[in-house]
Amino acid sequence: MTNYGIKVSQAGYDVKTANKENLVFSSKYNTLKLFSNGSGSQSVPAATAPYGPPGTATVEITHNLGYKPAFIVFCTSIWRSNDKFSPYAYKSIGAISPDGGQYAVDTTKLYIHLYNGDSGGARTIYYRYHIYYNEL
Amino acid sequence: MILFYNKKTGEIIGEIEGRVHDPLVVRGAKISVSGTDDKDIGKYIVPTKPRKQKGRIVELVPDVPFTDKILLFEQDKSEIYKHKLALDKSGQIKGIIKLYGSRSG
Repeated sequence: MTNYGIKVSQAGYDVKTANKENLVFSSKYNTLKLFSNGSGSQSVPAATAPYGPPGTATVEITHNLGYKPAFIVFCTSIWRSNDKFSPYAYKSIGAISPDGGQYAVDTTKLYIHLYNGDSGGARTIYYRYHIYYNEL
Repeated sequence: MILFYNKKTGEIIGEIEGRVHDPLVVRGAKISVSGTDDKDIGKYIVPTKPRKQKGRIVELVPDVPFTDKILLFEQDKSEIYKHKLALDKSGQIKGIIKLYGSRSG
């Protein structure tokens, strides 16, 4: 069988003999292929009571790929500074309310559900997302 | 870059990175958010023009009067949400304005 494809090795390694862990790219292995990426800012209403149900907001990002794509989302938390992003909803010990975000995807949209566990007022949560051509 | 904004206030609510996009993104991408009617969300695809060197196109660069702001947004995404779009009475985008202190988390 003909051996064909593209390989790129890390600096200091011969591409013809380098092990796969010393390559920066090889067409032999599948990779994530970026469809689109972006960010947003969303005001989320206050929780209805201290330690009670959180305020919620939903952002829907239309991708129209026709299948469920691989994706990842990160968002800020009202309990951390806005330069810290996490891929999951944060819930402090003993708290009923989650804070941060939870995410879902279907064949047309990416859904970002954001939570504000603070009853003191509406808060802004920032999110960043990547949607890939790869199917889930 | 594609900016999504509130047509009434000019507030930037989201963006898609990049100077070249899949046609599916250009045609169909949109953002819907709680509390804002879809018809009040604008989509602005930042125009680009080719930059040439020795007759060859080497990159696409923003082709707007506020290119400095677009380049700033590309370098630092947190800056996007410290700004809003300036709209004229017909809703056309005139520029990008820095916000001071009103949108902290």
